[in-house]
Amino acid sequence: MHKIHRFFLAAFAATFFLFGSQASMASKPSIGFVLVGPHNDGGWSMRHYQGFKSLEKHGYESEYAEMVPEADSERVFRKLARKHDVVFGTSFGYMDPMVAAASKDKSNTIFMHGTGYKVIDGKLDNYNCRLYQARYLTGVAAGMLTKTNKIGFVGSHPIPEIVSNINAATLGAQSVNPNIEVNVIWINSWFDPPKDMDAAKTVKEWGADVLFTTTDSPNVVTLAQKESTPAKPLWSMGNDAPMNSFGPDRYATGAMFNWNLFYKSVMDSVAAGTWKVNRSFWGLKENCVGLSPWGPNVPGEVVNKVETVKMNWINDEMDDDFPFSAGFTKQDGTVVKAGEVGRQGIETMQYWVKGVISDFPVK
Amino acid sequence: MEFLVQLLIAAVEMGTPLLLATLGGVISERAGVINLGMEGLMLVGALTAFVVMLHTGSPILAVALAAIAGGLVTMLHGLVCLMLRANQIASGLALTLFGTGLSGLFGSSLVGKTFNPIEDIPIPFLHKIPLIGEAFFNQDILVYFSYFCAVLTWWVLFRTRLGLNIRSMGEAPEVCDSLGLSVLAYRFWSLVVGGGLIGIGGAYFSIAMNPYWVDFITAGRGWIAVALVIFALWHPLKAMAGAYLFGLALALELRLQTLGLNVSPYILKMMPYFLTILVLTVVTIKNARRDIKVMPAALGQVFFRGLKN
Repeated sequence: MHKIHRFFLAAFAATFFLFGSQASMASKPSIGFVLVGPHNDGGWSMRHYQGFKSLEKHGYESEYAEMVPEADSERVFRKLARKHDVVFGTSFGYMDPMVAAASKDKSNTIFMHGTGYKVIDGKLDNYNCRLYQARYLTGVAAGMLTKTNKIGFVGSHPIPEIVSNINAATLGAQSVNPNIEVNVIWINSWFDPPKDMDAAKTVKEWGADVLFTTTDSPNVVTLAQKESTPAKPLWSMGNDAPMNSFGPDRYATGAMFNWNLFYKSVMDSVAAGTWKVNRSFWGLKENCVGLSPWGPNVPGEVVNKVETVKMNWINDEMDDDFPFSAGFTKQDGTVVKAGEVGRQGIETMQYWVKGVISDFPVK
Repeated sequence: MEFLVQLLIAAVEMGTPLLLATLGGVISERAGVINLGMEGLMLVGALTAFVVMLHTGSPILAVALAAIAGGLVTMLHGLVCLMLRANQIASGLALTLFGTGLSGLFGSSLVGKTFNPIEDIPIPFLHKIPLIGEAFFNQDILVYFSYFCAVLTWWVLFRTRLGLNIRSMGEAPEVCDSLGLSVLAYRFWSLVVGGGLIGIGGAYFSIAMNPYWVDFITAGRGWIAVALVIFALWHPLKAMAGAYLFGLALALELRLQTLGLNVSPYILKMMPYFLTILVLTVVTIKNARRDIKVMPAALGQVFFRGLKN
């Protein structure tokens, strides 16, 4: 996801950014990685950080810089490239600075850009994970949990990645409950906790009893915990990372990233000398995305149903581009046939599926 | 009707931290000191309150220590721009950067922790008033405290000798000086008390609104408060109206979406700032004709004894 907001955060704190542990001269290739937020932001950057740190037990040492503003990142990439074999940048906004750093770099250093679309053969690759697959599963759970048939989203920015996630959740919910309505309140920021909380309240006022977020702030979880009553139960879904600590009683599950295996595969291919540009887009099968642990109060039938769908998917009953590859109806009534929307369609999605009642936002 | 009630509730909630910070800004600017460090001070207040709430569970202690922390950090600003007579703008901006870094540094180990936010306390009878009752009289203690602060600030500034002295420091410090009042003391303590209020404004975020810690939890609200001080024409009661108006603008941005009105978010986002420019323009033009100055005449000026312009 494109954490452009971090620019502002980071601009203020640019002078405070720290370089992490020094990499030792191990025989295995070493990693330099750049985070757009703090390494413990509780979401996006934290998951990347955990992914890289999990490689230490495999002998891949790493050094990192956090809260690096996009405008200032080229310098950091070049600095890390002088010392390390692979340099990772984990924000959409790093795309052009990484391209610049990679094209100026004369060494054998490999550059890896998380999200984005630019590549340089033999030098710079990009990668992402299919979070919409996990979001579909949370949608299935939401479709079974809701009593009002209304699902609410606190939306960050209406970029294709977020739009496809909301559409996937809608299709997932409709697969078990055709009467589902989905409403999205955009805060137009990756990060604005006060406004985020107000947006969560707004979708709750609208009648949603399952609350999703696409931001890293756990407000939907806090709100569900605080305002759920036996007569009007509320459920919350996390994003990017587990958020259950913020409201354990009313937490259902959440779509989240798990970069460990992907980062290990990249480093293994570099160590073996087989690395090449291939624009990885891993999903459930490769365990690059998944569900955060189920909340204790989620009914067993919901857990069983969702875990069954997940296993079927992993066992290839659905393809990678599902649910979009199966065909669907757009909000305006246009029918999209099976197979019409593939990876490219998902990566450029700028419309709602039927069931989302909000207008598609104007720019 | 329900829509309006919820909108007003949200407007008051969004407006409360703005109001507290704006009052802090009004007090120090009335004494002639610009404080652009509001964002940083709010973050310091937010962090302090969060830590205290996490460990003691006492909102009163959390708010008190947030005020003290805000005041202490503001003393740096006072030291630099009042005692050492450096530029107030530069020092204030530095204070924002400092507060942001400081809160990030000490907050980094708190990510993921949470507690129950402070409860709403309905005021008997008053909270049953249609429309405004729920919004103004069924809120948490900090909201009521902000009403009290607004009225108290107005009373002190405009109805007491102390307030007259404070305001004089912002209009004609050299006159005050020749009358034997300590410009430095008045300005310094006005600034520090203001910093305390700004700290309490920050506390509202972490103990009432979002009971968890993330870096930069105020998300730029301190800058809105800087604009609000001007918008309110340095008046505590107008600050109250202004804060709720800005709160309304923030709450409306989200709720317009549920009404199906597809307005560009950028237009809504710039509304508070646009309104500030508009009000300032209108008031300045109106007052220029009558030869009245709204802005404290000595605002931002360094005071040297014996220096004549």
